[in-house]
Amino acid sequence: MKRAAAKTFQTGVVFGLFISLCGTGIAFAAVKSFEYGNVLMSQPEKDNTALPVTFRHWSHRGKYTCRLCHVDLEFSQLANGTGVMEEDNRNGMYCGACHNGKEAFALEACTRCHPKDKQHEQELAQQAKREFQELKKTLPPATYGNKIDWMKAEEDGIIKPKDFLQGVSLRKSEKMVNSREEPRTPALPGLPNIIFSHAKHVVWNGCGMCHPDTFALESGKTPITMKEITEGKFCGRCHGNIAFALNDCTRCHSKPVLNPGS
Amino acid sequence: MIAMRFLRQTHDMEKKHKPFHRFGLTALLCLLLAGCGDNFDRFLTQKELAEPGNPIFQKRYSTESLSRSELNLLLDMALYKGPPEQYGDIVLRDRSEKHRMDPVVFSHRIHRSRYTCRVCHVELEFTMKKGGTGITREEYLEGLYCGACHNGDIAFSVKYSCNLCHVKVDKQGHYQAKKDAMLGGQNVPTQEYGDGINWVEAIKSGAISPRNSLNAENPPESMPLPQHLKMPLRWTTRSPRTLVVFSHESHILWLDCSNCHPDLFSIAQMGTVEFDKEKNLYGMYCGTCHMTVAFPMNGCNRCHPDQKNRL
Repeated sequence: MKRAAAKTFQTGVVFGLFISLCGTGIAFAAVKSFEYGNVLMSQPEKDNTALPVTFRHWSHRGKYTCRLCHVDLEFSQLANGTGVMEEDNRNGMYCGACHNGKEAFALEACTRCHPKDKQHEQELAQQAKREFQELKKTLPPATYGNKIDWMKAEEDGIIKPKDFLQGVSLRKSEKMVNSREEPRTPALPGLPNIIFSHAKHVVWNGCGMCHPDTFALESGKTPITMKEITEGKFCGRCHGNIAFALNDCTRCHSKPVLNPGS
Repeated sequence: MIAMRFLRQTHDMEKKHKPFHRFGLTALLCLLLAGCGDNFDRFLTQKELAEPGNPIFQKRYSTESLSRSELNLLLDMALYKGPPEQYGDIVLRDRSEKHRMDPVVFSHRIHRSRYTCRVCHVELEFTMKKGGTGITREEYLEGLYCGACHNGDIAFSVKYSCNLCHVKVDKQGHYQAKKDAMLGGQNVPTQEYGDGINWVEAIKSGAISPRNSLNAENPPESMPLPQHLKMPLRWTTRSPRTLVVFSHESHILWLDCSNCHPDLFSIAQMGTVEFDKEKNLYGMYCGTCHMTVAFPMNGCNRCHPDQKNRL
């Protein structure tokens, strides 16, 4: 009996370890500031000879607005949803729109993005980590995510993200810009009220990043729950992956509740 | 219904392990079935009086739990029985030994009387998984990780006092426990398991007052708890005899919301469904902290108020 019990226990341990490994892989993947917003670009259905590229949002978002890549250059907001091909890049689409030797380093510098082998991949990651720490020192700090307050950096003029790329972007219509603040009351009693600021979002996103696909045009007509946001819907499409992290509760739930008892 | 399932389980077990003492098992079963209902009801009425208006959440589960005998075996193996002054110590040897240094022994006990968990595990980006942070010498000399405090200003410098962290550890894992440099002295409330200190009581009684942020001028504002989380939450368990009581208030003394939510626990009400004791003992969910650093699960009574501690 003892032996049988020991055996079931052993399998239990192996299974448990397996579960805990899987669990921690997901659970703690996103906590490191230098890896926050990283996207591994791979197309597993194609047999690629090249190792996947790690795209780092932090190295781009100080220089360009979100809108420029995700609207003008047609990058999908879903990881690997774009289906970037080498030919496209060479024709000046996607990465190739800037990485042409003029705006940014040319496509010929393959190994700056494509790792040669596993070891080179680690070296690139270590190099990126160093560059990140250097960049972080020059920008205002935040508690979560990249630990960089990108919004404040833009407001203070430390970074000036480009919103227009010659030959690709069209002129933005100034008439449509909405800078209204939208107050929202959370469903749970006792939580601070939410203030959504159009003005802060428009700088980075224009209108087309959110409307009408993610949010209905009519104010307050999209029912949102916090659970759906943590699953990557609505605000969670950017907040929690790239824009400031969802842990930063008080940045949205910012208006104090006056009568917590009522 | 639950009794039926239990009967079926024990029946299966008897089939599996033929030489098992049938008489003993039946007697145990009778005792269990006779005793459990009363205890539970009595406990509920007591608690109901003490905390009126705090509902009990009926938890739904998606996984099958271990049988009691196997759970007992597992508990015997997993619960902490080492010396209190070494509970919560982390021996980091992989990277150090590659560079021909003695392993680093990190003592949570010394650190947590001065700083809350939040300071290191949110602000300084230490992962909660041993070896997951990937600390390098280059980085701590730059003022990251350990180097954020160990700079000669707040605490001893990483540049000089190497052997205060890198200590000799023999192959069996024995080392000399760190000298107790804890704050609070005699006033710190004690307990009989884990590292011997009731840390939640220690903060509440004011015996220690650990700092919650390294940023003294501009400490982060934390969000107030919503109304229904201010009182301890109470859940049913799969076993009809026990109840779980969970207090958000005593956790946010030490932690940030983001240490647990939404990675370890879903933020949806009753959203964590595959939660069971076994997974906890393997270090998931509560076990992430409550088997290694926070009080170990020997202190049954802290979460299951009608159960005795296993010392």
